[in-house]
Amino acid sequence: MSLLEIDDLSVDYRIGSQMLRAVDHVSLRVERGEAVGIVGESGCGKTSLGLSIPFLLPTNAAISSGTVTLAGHELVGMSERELNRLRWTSVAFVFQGAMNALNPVQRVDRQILEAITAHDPRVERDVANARVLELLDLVGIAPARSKSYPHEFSGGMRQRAMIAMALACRPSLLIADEPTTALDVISQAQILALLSTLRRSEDLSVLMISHDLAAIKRVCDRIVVMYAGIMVEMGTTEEVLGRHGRPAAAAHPYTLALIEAHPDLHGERLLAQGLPGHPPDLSKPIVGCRFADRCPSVMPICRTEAPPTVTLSAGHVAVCHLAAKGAR
Amino acid sequence: MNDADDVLGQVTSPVLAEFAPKPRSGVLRSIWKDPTGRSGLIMLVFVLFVILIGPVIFPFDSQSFGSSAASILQPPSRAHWMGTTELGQDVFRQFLVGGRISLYVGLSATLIAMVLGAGLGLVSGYYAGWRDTVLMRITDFFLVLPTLPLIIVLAALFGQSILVTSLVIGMTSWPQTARIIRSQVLSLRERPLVQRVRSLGAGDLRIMRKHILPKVAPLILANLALVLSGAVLAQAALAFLGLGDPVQVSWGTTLHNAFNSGAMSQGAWWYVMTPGAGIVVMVLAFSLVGHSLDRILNPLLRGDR
Amino acid sequence: MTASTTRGSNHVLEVRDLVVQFAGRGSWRHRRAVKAVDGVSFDIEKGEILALVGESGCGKSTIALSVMRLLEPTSGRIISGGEDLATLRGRALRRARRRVQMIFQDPFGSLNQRQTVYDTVVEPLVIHKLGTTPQERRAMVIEALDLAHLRPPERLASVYPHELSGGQRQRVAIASAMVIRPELVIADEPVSMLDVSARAGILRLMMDLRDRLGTSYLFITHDLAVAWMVADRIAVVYLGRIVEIGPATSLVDGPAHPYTKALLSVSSGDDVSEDGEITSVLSGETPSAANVPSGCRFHPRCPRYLELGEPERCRAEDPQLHVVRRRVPPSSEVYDANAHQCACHFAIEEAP
Repeated sequence: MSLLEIDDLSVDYRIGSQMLRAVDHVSLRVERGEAVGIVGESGCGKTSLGLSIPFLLPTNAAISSGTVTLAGHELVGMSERELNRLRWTSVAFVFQGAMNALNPVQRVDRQILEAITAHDPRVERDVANARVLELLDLVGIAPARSKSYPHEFSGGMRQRAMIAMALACRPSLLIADEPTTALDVISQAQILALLSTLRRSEDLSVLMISHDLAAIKRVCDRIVVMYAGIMVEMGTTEEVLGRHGRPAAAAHPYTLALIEAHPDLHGERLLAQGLPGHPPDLSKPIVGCRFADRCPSVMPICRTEAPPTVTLSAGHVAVCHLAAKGAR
Repeated sequence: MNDADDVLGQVTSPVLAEFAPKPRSGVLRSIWKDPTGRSGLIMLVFVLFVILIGPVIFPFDSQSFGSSAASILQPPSRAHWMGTTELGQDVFRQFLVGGRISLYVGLSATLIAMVLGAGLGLVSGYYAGWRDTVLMRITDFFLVLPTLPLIIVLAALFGQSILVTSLVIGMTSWPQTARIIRSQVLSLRERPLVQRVRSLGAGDLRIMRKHILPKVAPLILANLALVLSGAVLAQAALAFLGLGDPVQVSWGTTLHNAFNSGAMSQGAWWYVMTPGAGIVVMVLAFSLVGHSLDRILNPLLRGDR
Repeated sequence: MTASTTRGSNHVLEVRDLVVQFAGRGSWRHRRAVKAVDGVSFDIEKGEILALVGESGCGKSTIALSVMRLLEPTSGRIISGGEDLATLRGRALRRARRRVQMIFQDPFGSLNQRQTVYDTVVEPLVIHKLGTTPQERRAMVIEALDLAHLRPPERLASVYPHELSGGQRQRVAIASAMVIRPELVIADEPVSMLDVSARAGILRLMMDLRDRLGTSYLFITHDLAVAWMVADRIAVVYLGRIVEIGPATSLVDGPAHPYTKALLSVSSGDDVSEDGEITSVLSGETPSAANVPSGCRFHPRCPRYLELGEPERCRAEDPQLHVVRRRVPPSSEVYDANAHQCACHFAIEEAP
């Protein structure tokens, strides 16, 4: 049984009088000890997908269909009280810009302590304090700095503190939404290295949401590519993005465009092609493939029929007419 | 397809459509939709009708006093809809005329307050630095200036008139506007938009006029309605205390006369209720519309990042 | 200090010893001035794209804002068109602004939401009194929109910013800068807030404008890979100083400064080994500009400093930029604008 199973999930937003489907029947799984990356650009629905797992969607959004199962527990339909018990203890999350969510007038160690005592009010002080120091050590913050205030920390250190807070109750799943945006290149590498290490040392599963393909490549075993609310490709990172010496075997034109748009410092100085245009308006009904307007390999069938899910190899699927043609 | 061609598509996000400049008719419609605003608008229409049309239909003749002792302080009757005063005058007709003065003073005072307040707030917030410090200290000075002693002093010096009343109320109302506008401008000036336009070579006046003022206009509008309601109330209060123009019959003056002639102790409720109700409705009308405007226009302010 | 320039006539910008100082925190008595930019010099030739690369807080944006006089430089010279921009004011400054324009990071925030695309792009013409009739101005605006790859320009001129995508908004900003045909455009992180797929379009546009109109660019970015795609020369900034500057290919193929080497390693993904282990390239954090280390500002984090057994020189002496690689023989008197310079006592000098 997978640790996290998302089946046929749809998330709808109500904006004024219009309804917008931000996530459209998406399914994915995260196994124990696995790191899965969800990659896509703004408006693709990845953040909504991430927020729906711990049920932290904004008030004008709702899960309209599908199920979310965490360690066997069916989350959709659970009461708020039961969900609260699962939050942080089974699934923890580090939001976008989380480093700015720290309380500026409280010391960092107190805040991490609060995360522990909030979920276990009867824990002994000594035990909790020891855990705080243990967590800080885990993320690489020296004990001497633990008594500092957030503004005395750099962006990278604050993000580490957030990760420490997330791990406070030993969750089995960590959801990280854009954990490295707004950080320096060096700090980004440090945080990603930390996530990688923690995965192994704490037996943690990670669901990482990012627009940065390079970041996902560093941390994740599997990758899910989203576009305009649907999944367009899924597979192992090694297969889809390629690794040392092994070329990328991505099949969906959008994935290929994303890969090509990420500059490579090794090869020749080629300016990427990029993708002109922008994603479709999700408040209007969509006919055929959502990517058809921008796809360099578009075919007539793409505009009339929704593309099928094609299995290219074990664990590697693409939702594309072109891939279907090639697979035959 | 030429990869350089960026074709115009539909609105990329319905969320962002909120940022579109709202047409004027849209604001009015929004106020109507809001229950608070609707009540305010209805009251406002009623008040304006009374003030503007009333005197035309029922002219008030300040010279027509009661013919006999029997017509003094009479309760409402068919002849006199809202009864008579201690001088035998028709209360209803006084009511119709009195509103004009209240509104007139209210508007003039508000105009002074708005021009001074918005202007000062704009300049202070835009330049920041020492100019801001100096202007804010001046604002503080006027903020603590008490209306009552000021008008007594000025009335003694320059006589009691609508002009003096308007001036005093205006002078003591602008600080709050100045502060509100200033804080909004302070945050606006840091936006990339202002940096970009400055780098283009735009002068300060141009930036204030074209890029900052339109963004604070909704704020000024909402504030205007609230200041107006306060000004009307202030005028009524001053007139009631006998500091208004004795010649002009405003609602406050009517109340003043009613008080002086001992109307309450004599049970002449119509004399007090009529102008009183007028003041309440007018102040409430502007207040409700102002709060409604604030609520409507604020999301735009919040959204105009 | 490197040799002075002799090819001045071909430069659109010459910056000399730029210092930008801010009042630090703390009480009146103990307030220490913070030098966000501590002595920076560089030139930009006509038609050249120079990238300033560095992490956030290194001072690269401060340099850009000072050149534009949106921030006041504390000292130094900023020479453009024969005038020192640092000393101009009033009408003279406004005239000078015709030569140097700027594009900002936030495409949404830099446009006035209440103005149509046309209003935005015509504004610089109005400010500088260019174009005598409305028709003439309209023609200039349409041309600028077309130049910025906003097509069809007539239709796009009447829309509002919220109806456009991020990439399109940035193009509008570019059009408004280009309509007055500046010599130099300073672009402060122009693509970092755009989706990856939209970035290439903007970068292409900049290079296209450079090829067609000869516009030079000062391109500020934290992403070395983006700089690699567009820049002719790259300058790496650390804690308010340029630590390395040279032709893009020379710098990327053979970085001389350990900091550049670290940035390169991370940006290219070379710090990840075969089995996914990530080697830590740099320890610690960038110190704040209020606490600049003694001697070489990079030495506390420098892997080479540790490698070489913590030499005294790195702690005591502040290294200056010196040439490590040049394309012209050293005996030549002519300053080689393409010389690769580095500020390190133990620069990695192997040729690529």
